[in-house]
Amino acid sequence: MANLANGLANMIKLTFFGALSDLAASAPEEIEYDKSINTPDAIRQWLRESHSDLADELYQQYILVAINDTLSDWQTEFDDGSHLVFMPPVTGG
Amino acid sequence: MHRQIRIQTDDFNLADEYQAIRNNNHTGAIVTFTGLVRELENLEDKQNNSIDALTLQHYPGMTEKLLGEIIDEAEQRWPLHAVTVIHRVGKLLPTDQIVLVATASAHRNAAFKAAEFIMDYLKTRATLWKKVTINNEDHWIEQKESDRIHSSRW
Repeated sequence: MANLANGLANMIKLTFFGALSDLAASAPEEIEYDKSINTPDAIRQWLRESHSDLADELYQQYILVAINDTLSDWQTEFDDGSHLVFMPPVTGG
Repeated sequence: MHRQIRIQTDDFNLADEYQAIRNNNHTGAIVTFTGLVRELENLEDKQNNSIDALTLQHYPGMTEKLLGEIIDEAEQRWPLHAVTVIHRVGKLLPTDQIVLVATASAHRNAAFKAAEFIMDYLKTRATLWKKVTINNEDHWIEQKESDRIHSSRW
């Protein structure tokens, strides 16, 4: 099974945009998938230990989360191999 | 309807984009809106800061999808012949072009309204983020209440 952990399985990918991207400069881009961390809410709880500034911002009510390019809510369960994206309110135009 | 959505670092040429949607015999009105980088920007604590640069970040794939949905909605509301949306990303300087919205219709009312609607929705829905550099310090821009109000009136 070890070779499955080769970036292709048992991993989830994290992307942060806007002000979150600066706070996440030292945060991992990929983390090991674990059944106990299978919702965006669990990810932000997990980040509290290592990246408290980033985690605090993730608890702001205006932060949006997408799972595999679909807007989702914080309690949505995701699968191994998922891509999670965290976003502040948009400011283009 | 002819539609074009582009997210790019390169500049765009307004005349070329205008010509590209001028070729429909039924079109009687084309509206183009261009957004530019202003030199002066207000931050939460200070007014009229002179910026060195504006940097735009976006969520690849998602931005194009959301712009497509905004154009779908405009098309349901007004009889449009063409819509072009071009948004630049990366580092831009004062006076640079940021965004182009062009709409073509038989009559001006639909073209004006659709262009305004697309810009209002783009500002509150499309996954783009701006930061300004002032005296070598980066500041992420926050979403404006006025933009939310403009978007909610449609």
